Amino acid sequence: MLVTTSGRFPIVSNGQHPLRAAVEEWRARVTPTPEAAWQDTELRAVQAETQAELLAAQSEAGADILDTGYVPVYDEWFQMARAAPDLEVAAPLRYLDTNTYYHHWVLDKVPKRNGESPIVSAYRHAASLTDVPLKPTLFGPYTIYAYADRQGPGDTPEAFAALVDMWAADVAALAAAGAKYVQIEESVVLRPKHRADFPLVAQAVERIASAAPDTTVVVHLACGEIGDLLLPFLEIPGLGGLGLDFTDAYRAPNLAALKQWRGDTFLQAGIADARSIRVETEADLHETLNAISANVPAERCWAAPSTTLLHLPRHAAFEKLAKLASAAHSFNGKRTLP
Amino acid sequence: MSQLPILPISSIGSLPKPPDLFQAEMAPLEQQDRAWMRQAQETAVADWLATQESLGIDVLVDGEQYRRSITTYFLEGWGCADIDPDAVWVLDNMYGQRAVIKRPATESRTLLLDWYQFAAARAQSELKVTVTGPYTLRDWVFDLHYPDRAAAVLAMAEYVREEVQALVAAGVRYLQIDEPAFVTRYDQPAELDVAIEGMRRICAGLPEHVTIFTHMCYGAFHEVYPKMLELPAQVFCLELAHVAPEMLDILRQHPFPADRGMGYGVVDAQDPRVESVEEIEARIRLALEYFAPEQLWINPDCGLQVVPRESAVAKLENLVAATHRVRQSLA
Repeated sequence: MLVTTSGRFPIVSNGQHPLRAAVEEWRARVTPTPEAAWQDTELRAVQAETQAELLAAQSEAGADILDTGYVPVYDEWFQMARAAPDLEVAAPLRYLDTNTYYHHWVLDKVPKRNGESPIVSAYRHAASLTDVPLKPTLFGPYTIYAYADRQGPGDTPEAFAALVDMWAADVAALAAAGAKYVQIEESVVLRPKHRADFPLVAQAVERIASAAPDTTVVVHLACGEIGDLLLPFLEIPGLGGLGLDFTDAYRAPNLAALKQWRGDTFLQAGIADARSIRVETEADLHETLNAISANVPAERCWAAPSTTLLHLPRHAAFEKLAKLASAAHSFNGKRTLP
Repeated sequence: MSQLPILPISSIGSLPKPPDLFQAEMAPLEQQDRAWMRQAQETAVADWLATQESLGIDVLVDGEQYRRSITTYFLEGWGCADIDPDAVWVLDNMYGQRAVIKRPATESRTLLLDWYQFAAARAQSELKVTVTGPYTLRDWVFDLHYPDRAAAVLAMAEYVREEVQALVAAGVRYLQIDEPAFVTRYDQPAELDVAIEGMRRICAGLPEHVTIFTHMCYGAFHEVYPKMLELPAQVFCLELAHVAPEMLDILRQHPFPADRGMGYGVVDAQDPRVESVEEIEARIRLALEYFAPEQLWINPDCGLQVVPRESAVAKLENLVAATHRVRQSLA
């Protein structure tokens, strides 16, 4: 069983980190926009150094498929907007039930891609630093659309399709750069008022996957019950993996849903609670893995944190990842190398 | 409330801190110069009380100048939590100190009493005291002590109840229990129920002359309405400057009960841009399409602590001016 991560990592320790200081210095001297962050060579150099540090930390913790270690300026939504510079990014909104906030997009026109997002260059840099497989994570187009301030032509099927095309182009670029895995974060679709929008997510995933047929595209769904959406997800053409949350309130319903699991799709099993500082015991993790493996073969299952470890203090995040890796690798009594 | 004008104006809670105080409070408690901190906090509270009175705010807050955050202030002060040394990302380049609950409270649960008395001695106008609700005190921190979330919430509820009892005994008439986390796990009914139970325990037996407010922000309020009305608050202070169409839709389907009040947020608490009087007036008039004038309080969306002081003052100034215009037209 392989161990993977799920998005970006916390960086500060005792309140300090060179990237935090660099962002502070940057925003004091420029108007902070996604393009300004992209153009700032000093800032990007510190981001690149941070990637090296976080790649090493993940490997040391025992992960098999790593995040690129990319830490965006401000947040992922803010940085992704660099790919469509005609769009405005607005004030931060609370994301899901987390106490974290992301800059939402103002979609007042059909978006047009004008260059790749910083995720792609971050992948290239990470790939130059390690031979370990990488899984860059992108918030998905549905999440951006769902949280956007949509007006006029920006609130149309054409606008959503254009967003999906932007993402497909980025994922194709990632694949061309050698990415074997890509994670698309679309947890919001599991929220009650968004479930009816599943067809939009399916449309997006099929389009994105078709742009990178040799890359395993994983859709990650944290903080929610998959329920009756499991089979529709598994039927999306090109879907390579599905990430589900097996912590807290979602463990029992998502384990129950797995009885319908079918096909060769990878399950990214979020078994370590990325939002609790309590480190799970190996016995706890094995118990959940046992329950999962009743329906999903271990070789098709990746052990993972339930969502990004960003919600934890840095020391706790890597302690949790190390425990997860140790437990998953001992689960089968052997470690299956990628 | 009968002594207040129609559309009474209040702040929500936090107000910007002087930069030196903000910087100093980032240090661990044991490294802080307590005498200097107390002096700086008292000066800042007194200054904000005077500023709000000069602006024409009807019900003042102390601006929470002595709280590092809405959670750590209480949990550290009660002795039941330590601050993790690694701050956690919140937004932009902002990282928040996170408390970790490690034990039951070891210190007195009367942290606010002293500050209320300090403010009451300096304010001519009515005061509203804000306290963080038990659900948010659990949801926004880490917990290594209690067996589950519900147990932690109900333990925090008891501590908050003790704070509230001391405040009411000292004469507090306007009390706000902040529950910004209430809006977040709306897909889990048990979570909403424990939040409601926590607030019920706090408010049980409070005298009728005490007006209980609750405040929520950053939320998809339509997801928890009308369920939120099970909270035992008389006034719901919501972030509505950019009210979602879904919220207006649900208010049309389920009109707000006539015996409850709405603290309608009319200025953005994150954006330093100062809304014009006309802009704010339009928001108040929109509110009047859904609420009777007697039900409405006018306030910012949330505490104004993250915008610069000059922006906060200008926002409040325009909020007061806009409210006065609407009051005149109602008269």
